[in-house]
Amino acid sequence: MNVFQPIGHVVFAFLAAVGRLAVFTGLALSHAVRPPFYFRIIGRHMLEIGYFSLPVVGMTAIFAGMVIALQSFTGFARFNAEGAIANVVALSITRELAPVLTGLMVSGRIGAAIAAEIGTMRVTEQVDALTTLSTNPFKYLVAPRLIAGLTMLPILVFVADIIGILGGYIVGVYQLGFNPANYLQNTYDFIETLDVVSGLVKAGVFGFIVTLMGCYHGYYSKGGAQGVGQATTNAVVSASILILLFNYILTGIFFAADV
Amino acid sequence: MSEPQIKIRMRDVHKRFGAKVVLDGFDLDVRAGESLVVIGGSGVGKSVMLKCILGILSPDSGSITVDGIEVAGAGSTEHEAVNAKIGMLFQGAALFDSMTVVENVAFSVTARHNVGRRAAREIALQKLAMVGLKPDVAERYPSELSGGMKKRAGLARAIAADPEILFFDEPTTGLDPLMGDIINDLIVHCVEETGATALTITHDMHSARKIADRIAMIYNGKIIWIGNVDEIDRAADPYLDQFIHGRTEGPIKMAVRR
Repeated sequence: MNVFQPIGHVVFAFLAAVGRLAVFTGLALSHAVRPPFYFRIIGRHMLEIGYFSLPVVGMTAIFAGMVIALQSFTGFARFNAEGAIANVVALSITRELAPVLTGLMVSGRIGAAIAAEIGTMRVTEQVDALTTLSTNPFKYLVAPRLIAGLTMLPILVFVADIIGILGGYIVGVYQLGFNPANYLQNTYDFIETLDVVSGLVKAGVFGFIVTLMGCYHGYYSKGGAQGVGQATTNAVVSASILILLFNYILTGIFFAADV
Repeated sequence: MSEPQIKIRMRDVHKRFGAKVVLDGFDLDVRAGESLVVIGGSGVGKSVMLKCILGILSPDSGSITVDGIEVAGAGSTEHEAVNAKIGMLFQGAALFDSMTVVENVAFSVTARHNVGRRAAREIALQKLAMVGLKPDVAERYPSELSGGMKKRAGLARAIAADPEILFFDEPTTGLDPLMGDIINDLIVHCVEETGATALTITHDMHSARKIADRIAMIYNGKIIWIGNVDEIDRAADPYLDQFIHGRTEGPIKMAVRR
């Protein structure tokens, strides 16, 4: 019977963690939609997540676009379909690469920062101090970050779409010798609204995941510097895994809707 | 003579973490306008007691009332209303390090009262002057302050919204004896000035004697002795006697080995 004891422990611990996350998410969402709203703080986080992530996201997108153009040329040249490169770049950037890579980069940049900041506030009793000052930590710390993540990621991904396609254009025109006008015309003719919209929906979900994981792990961190370090790691790892998981789930939903 | 009015009443409060029982049938009355100091060793539940009143932790059972309003098991809205009467000085001051000192104090004012940004700043500067911090310190960030200055700023934040009740969590811990005494004097001064009810937890007997009207000793999750500060040396309680004289031998067994 001792075999079942450790298994039971793991199962209960897992269920407890899932339940705690569900309660946390519910509380955070309920506070995000009820007044009072801290507009200045929401604005500050929007600036941090949206504007200051632009260089990182831009670099990621341009190289991703360039690589896709080169790699698909290698593949498509084998059956004389080089003309489809513009389409492949546009499709893979808008549907997949821009949202996923942006989500992962932002989870490293923002998710880690959120977990470290809220975690430090937790272990130095600043979160408790908020409570004593009649300010709900969910409303003041969690909700503004969730709102900023949910709204800023789609904008970031839209920018990444444009820069990624530009990267493909640069390689296509200057390295592979495509006609610039043809390349742009191909991109424009081929791309559909759903390609871009599905990527932007993914981006919103990823933004929510990144900020939620940062807040959750920061909020429940304990035990000083080591605990905060652990919370930061957990925030980035769990956000990255959830991004890839939800990327598959959402792609499946859009695939079913498409066919 | 009428009975003194009770500000905070705790009855049969139980709280445990896993197998560890922290509060075990805890009773305490804090009278309006008095300064009560709760003493006790490390890890006996002093902080848990404060956190249960504030709603940061919820007790497993029992009753806690503040001005007659039940807070044990209350929702966050009720707690916010009750906490609006309470100002707290944290052990590490717990100043928000993303804000300057004056913003920290003004935060407390705007969270409680419907005043404008500029008015809140004026009040904050007054309160900082009250604890002996000059306006040039006000514009600094908490990380640029010494321990004593942080405590002063934390005190200013605690009294900024003119609370009816003040909590002090180990006010002198981590300070040198001189700075500790300055903080003690400030606490006495602020409590007198505001007329607030004060509840302090500490293990510093010098500080307790200075701040307290009454002293209560907590041991094994219960109050084992409570009385006026001048009775403490005449009390025959062996636990209290051991604690205030800091002896290692006596009825209190420290859990050193685990």
